[in-house]
Order: sequence, then structure tokens, then C-alpha cells
Amino acid sequence: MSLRGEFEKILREFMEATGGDVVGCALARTDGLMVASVLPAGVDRRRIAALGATVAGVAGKLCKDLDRGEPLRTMIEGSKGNLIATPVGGNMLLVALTTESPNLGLIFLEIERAAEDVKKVMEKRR
Amino acid sequence: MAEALKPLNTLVYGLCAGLWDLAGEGSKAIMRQIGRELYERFIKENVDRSSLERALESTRKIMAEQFKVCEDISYTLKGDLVEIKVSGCILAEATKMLMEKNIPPIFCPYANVFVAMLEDVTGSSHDIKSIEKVSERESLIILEKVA
Repeated sequence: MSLRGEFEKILREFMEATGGDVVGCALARTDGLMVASVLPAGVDRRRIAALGATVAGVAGKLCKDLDRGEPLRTMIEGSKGNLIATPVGGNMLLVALTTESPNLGLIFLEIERAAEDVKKVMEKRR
Repeated sequence: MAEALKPLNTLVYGLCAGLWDLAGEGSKAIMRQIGRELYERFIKENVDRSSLERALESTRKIMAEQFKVCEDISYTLKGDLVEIKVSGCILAEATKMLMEKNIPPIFCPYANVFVAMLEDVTGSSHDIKSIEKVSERESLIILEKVA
């Protein structure tokens, strides 16, 4: 399986594990380069990568300038759902789009699990 | 710095330094988008898409000969790598000032425009592997196909 295929499998499993609360997700690099995605029709995958990376970058700068340590996740609550950008190791981010009232505890837990899976794939490929 | 280019370099320096100060690493994603915007608006319609070499050559001509943003651009294809040498860049002074402030060379418009062109023409994602100054007047940009 290709690297992108392996990452897409992780993303699909992540979405399934959240019971439908995550409606789309992507793995992007911190420079805005899209790596893999499972997104609803009509969502521009390149834009998700670019915006997710920008938001996470600004969050990182805020944490640094205000001495808050490393950013663990960035979440934007919208009236129709949330955007959660989480560093998953190296220079990668997991960007998740959720429904309006998701189970955030479960989502954060599954993000951690997905992050571990991403790291394993990266290590295997080295 | 040529006097005529001083205002341009001053403005570009201010924009880039301010962006880096607020957005940090997020600036890389913003620059990638700026490269796409420049490519879509000013370059794409005149790119010869019949082969990668011709696409590179037409992009070189548009940037160096039509827009005159530098004296010359040369390129070499090495497998998944594209090496681009830019000489006589009109933003050299802004770049120097950014480097003096320890800001990484992520604001290079040539690199980001070429990435946008390569992604459009080949359909594959490309990464800016490195940007380095090789002499007083020349910079070497290395782009890599990643997926």
C-alpha cells in the first residue's frame, strides 16, 4: 500500500471510531502541504491543509510568545461545527472537521490513537 | 541596493517580517497560497503545458523576461528534484534584511510560484527542499516531488 493509502486508512478508522462526529479529516504538513485526506464532497483539500497549517502556526507562535509551552491542539468552534488541528509528530498535523455537538472527549482520545498510528507508519517507512 | 528598488524592498521586508512575527511557521502555508495566487493570476494562462520542460521554460520566460523580477532563471531536472537558480533578484535586499533578522528563507516568491506551477502541471505535490544563497547574486532553490 502507498504511504498516502496507509494514511487514508488511518483517517477512515479515526472517523469511524468517532461514531460520525468527525465528518472530514486530513493529514497535512505544517507548511500547508496536503498529505492525505478523507473529506466531504465540495471541500477544497488544499485549502483545508493551508488553513489548518496557518491556524496551527499562529497558535504555536501565541504559545511561544506568551510562554504557554507547546500547543497541544487548536480548536475553533463554529456555529455549524468545529475545526480541530492537532500536531501528530514531526511536521504533521491532523485536521478534523466535526459536527455541531460532537463528543469531544472521544474525539481527542481517537486523535491521540491516530497520532500513534501515523508515527508508526512514519517509523516503518524510515 | 539600486535606489529605484529601495521602496519595493523596504515594503516587502516589512510585510514578510510582520507576517513571520505574528504567524510564525504558519507563514509557510500562507506563502504557499501566495505562490498559487501569483501563478493563477499572472502566469498560468501562458504556461506551455505540453511537457514539464516546456512548462518550466515558459514560467522562466514569464518571470525573468516579461515581469523582469530577476535577471535570469535557470533550471535542472534531476529525477524528482527540480533545481532552480535565480540570479539578480530584485528582492535581494529584502531577503538580506530578513536573513539578518534570522527569518528563514520561506518568503521566496520564485520557489512558491514554481511549486504552484509544478503542482498544476504534474498534479503532484511538491516541497521546497531548500533555498540557499550560492553567491552574492545567485540563489539555488531545490524543489522535490513528494506525492
